[in-house]
Amino acid sequence: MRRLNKKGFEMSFAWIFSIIVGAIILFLAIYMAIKFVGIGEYKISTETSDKLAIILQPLETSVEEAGAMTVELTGETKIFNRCYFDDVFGDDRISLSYKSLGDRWSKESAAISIKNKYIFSDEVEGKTIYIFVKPFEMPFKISDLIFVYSKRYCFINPVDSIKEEIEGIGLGNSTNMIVVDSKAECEAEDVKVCFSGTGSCDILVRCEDEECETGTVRRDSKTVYFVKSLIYGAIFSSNEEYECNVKRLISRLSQLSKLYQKKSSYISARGCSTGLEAELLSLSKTAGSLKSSADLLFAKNLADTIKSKNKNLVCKLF
Amino acid sequence: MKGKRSTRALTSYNKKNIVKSKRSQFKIQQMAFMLIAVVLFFILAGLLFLSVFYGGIRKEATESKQEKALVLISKIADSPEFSCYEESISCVDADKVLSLKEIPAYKDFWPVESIVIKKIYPAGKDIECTKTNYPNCNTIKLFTKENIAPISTFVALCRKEKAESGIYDKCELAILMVGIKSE
Repeated sequence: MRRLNKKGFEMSFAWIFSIIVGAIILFLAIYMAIKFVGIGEYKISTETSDKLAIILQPLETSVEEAGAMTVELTGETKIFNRCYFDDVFGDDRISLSYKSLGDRWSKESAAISIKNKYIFSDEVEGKTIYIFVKPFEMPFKISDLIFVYSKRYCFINPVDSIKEEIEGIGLGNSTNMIVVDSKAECEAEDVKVCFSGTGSCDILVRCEDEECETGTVRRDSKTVYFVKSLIYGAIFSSNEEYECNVKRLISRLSQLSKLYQKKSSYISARGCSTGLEAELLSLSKTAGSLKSSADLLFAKNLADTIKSKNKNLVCKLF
Repeated sequence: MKGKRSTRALTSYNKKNIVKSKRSQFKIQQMAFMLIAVVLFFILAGLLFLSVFYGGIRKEATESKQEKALVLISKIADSPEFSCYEESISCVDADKVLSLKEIPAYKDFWPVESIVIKKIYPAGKDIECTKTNYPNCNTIKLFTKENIAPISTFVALCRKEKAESGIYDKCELAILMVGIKSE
């Protein structure tokens, strides 16, 4: 008969205790290490988005009509720009995510809020980011509009004013925008912007006047309205972001109209009467009540009247 | 006799066991204390690391705010709320800035805590500009009661004036100061 080994493997309490506690400590150490790698990635991407916000801050046109710049990033990066209109001026919040080890996208960074800029962008992804700035006036300068993009935009047969502008911005700058006469000249991966026809274009622009000062932009089966340089905002950003930024801009127009109205009363006391107070108050109220880009034309008409009156003044308000 | 012997044997066995058990208990206590010490060491090391790590983040955040303020001050004079004309550079419209004081919505618009514009040439007494004493004053304060702010730049402070020959822009040298937001 086979004898059973009754002694077996004996383990003291001290051993069991130290193994369990050791395992817990080891688990916690690994968990903390993983967590810190994540926090480190989050910190780097947040710092980068903050730096990007700092880059965007001085983009203010003064003497020049428009400007462009290229930002080279160290690696593949996705830039997220979300517009919020939850207070008087609203804000654009920039965050980013970069490609880390193993082609994995890092966690989206903390959002950096920018209140005094209007950033129009859609899906921005890549190592090279293109930025183009253009002032928006109605009737006085309201702000500079910043367009951020990474894909190449192919403008097919645009109106002369747009063609000249894009070619002008492209002089000495890498803008990643081309102007062509027919769709066949665009590359397959280009974002095709058509100014006529209804063919397979990503974006369809309809101008209502020769200078393309007003019109509509159709993308993803939705139509938005534009006036002046907002045409680029409608082209470079998604419909939702565009509408949100238009509301923010119009709100600033309303506050600026109030400011000019107050300035007008100040200078009137010193013998420089403009007689524009009533119109400016009306513009402020109209702008304050606008609901979407479709209402932009109401404000534009009022702004044009103020502009022409100011032009004829001896003591100009702006 | 047999019973007495067995009782003595049992007592000596118990004594041995008690001694052994006391030694084991002492060992467990020793290990428990050791483990507590190890855990405390890790906690302290972790806290030290976290304080260095987050201290660095705070420093970087302050530096970033300072950088933003420096960048902003170079451009704030050109923003529509301050600029004299669309084509002007580093020219602040005093009439606009005084009007800005009356619009509270602008309080959180720029990423700065305070804006102070002080006329430095021609120099005069420190008088804060209000609706009643303007333009016979030399300091315009926005969102603050302080007289100075840490980051500054020189600007031309202009306003409309009436002369016998007509309306003209009177410009004086001023210093534009901004204070950084502290959170």
